[in-house]
Amino acid sequence: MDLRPAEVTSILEKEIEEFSQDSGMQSVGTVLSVGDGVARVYGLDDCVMNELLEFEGGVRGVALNLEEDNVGCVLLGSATEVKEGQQVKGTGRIISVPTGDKLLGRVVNALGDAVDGKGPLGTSESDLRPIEQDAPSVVERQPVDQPLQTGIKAIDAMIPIGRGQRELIIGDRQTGKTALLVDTILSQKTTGGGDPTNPEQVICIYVAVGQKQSTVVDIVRRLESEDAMKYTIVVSASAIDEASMQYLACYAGCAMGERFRDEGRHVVIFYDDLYKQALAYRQVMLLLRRPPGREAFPGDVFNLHSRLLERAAKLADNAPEINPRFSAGGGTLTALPVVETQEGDVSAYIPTNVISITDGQIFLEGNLFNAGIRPAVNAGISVSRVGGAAQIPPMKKTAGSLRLDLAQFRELQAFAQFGSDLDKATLAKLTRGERLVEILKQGQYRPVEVANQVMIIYAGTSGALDGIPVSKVGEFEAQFIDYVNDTHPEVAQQIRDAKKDIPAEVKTILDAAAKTVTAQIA
Amino acid sequence: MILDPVTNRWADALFEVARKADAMEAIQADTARLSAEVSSPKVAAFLYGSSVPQEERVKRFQPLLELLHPKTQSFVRLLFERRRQEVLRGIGEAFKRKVYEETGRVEGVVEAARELSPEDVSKLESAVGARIGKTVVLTQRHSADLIGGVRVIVGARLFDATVKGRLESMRERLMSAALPG
Repeated sequence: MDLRPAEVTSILEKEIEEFSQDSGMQSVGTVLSVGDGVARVYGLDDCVMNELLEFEGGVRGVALNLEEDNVGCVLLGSATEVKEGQQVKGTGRIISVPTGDKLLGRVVNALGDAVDGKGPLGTSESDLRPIEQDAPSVVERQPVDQPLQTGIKAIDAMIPIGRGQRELIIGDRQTGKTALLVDTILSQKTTGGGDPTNPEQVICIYVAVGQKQSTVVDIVRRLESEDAMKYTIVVSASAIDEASMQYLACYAGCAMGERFRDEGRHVVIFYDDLYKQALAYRQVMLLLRRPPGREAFPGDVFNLHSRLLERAAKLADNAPEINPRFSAGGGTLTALPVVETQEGDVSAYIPTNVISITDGQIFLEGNLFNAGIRPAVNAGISVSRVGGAAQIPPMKKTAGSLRLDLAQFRELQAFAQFGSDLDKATLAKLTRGERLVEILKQGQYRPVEVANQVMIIYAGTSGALDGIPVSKVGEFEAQFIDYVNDTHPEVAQQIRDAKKDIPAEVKTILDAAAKTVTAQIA
Repeated sequence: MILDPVTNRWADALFEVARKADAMEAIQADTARLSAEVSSPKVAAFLYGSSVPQEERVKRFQPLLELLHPKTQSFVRLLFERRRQEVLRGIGEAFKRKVYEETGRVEGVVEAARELSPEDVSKLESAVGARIGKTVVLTQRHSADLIGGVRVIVGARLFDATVKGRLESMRERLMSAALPG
């Protein structure tokens, strides 16, 4: 970064002019004890919950326990510089992070400081927002009805996500949870051409909690190489950071997203993952001596997640009239939290909590993953409670039969393993099911545009693939989509604009294309 | 000095007793004397160590007790009986604070880079007192690294009018200022 002496001088001048003589009154306290990332402070009579505190030597802390004669706080930095008897100053403000356009393309920590080595963010005092904010009220919201395209066929077709929804992604380790998030980020490029200044562009915020640093680096590199970092903010509180930072990172990311939402933009935020956040919160709370509850989590661990996820919303069009805090209506904040399960146990404490808070869950299964069905979405037990209203009509129509065909296939599949004598109808259903499962497979970093999704799913459910060997379905899909888009470039737009089902003339084109491609492959 | 809640509770009770007996000044002097007495390491070892039997302690304290107000004597005997002799350490300070609190006075510290005259201190006392609505009693402390100006700490409030404080806040603002462009 260039530092021009003239600019520094002008700032200095301003400072000197504003250098007033009156003495400000500050709230102070004394460190009683410090250790394990928490400190107890005597004094600080006017301290409020979540107030940012300043220790000598520049270390900052957050007040979390206000007791009769002392304040318990977590340190947001190295505890080695804090000593007993030192003075602590209250800043009088709730912990805040910078927000706004300048954060796009950057990697920041839970306090909003840049950690990507690209210099300061350049945000101003007015860009600061408190990390804890009230969620929009009932009247300030409107029902979810716009689709958020993840670019993943299995999800967009059967478990659709709407803008403003909270959809949990749950599964064991190594089942492709993070890969699914990265694909969703890449897919958002189609909304506004990847141009962050385009108001249609969906902004992505990826909050990495307790992840390995190498994982975060891999994700950032991938997003950069795919040109997706331009509309993305990465908030990183990796495994090396203090537990307090890991617990606060989600709220910091949410505050950054809310800024865009309140300005009428569309944002999708990924919390990867909330189980690790709960672990960090448990550590901090146990050190602050809050009484432990089930699995040693503090009693308010449900509220920890519910108040975070409740901030995801689709604002009413007249939200600014109701509350001047919103500068524009119609903005959305979609939350896709991730929870890692242990040995597929979804009935553990944190998974059940988050399942009950969210509007549905996408269940990723290790068995499917290992059987080569990737993304390993278990369509049977994954649901989306509000996304149906947000699907484009042709997709809704086409996917209806897909869901039914797959359910029948799963039922017959188990049954068919016992005997070889199957009647014709059963065999036909098995043949169809195998091909549909094949269609829903998808390579990593290859999101599919929604119109293309409709085309291939239509081909599958209409039976056009029944005559093709399972091993050739992938090849068919690629050729079919290319063929349709090459010969009839208007079809994709017609599908996107359709008010009901796929138009009859488009169906004719698709049927003819399927026949041509089948002939080419055979 | 940071006082534990137990000491404060005992001080509150003694304060009420003193008020009823109308012996506030005598008892305050007694508590100050007691705390000063037990502050020496030798006495502390004798009082709080586990090797000395409790009766022995009471016996050795007897000559001192006879010099005190009868209510203070009862107070100390009760402390020994309840094995709460550690309260003696902070009772002087706790009692004094209680008396100050009741009379609307509050103690504080004034730090300056140079020696302040008694007039300066009393001016500061009235200025700070006007802001917080209490009578302030300041003790002076010398601190050369403040460069200039004064800093007053009363309870959990800090009034910073030092050059050092100004420089620090200026530094912070310069660090966080956004450069144009």
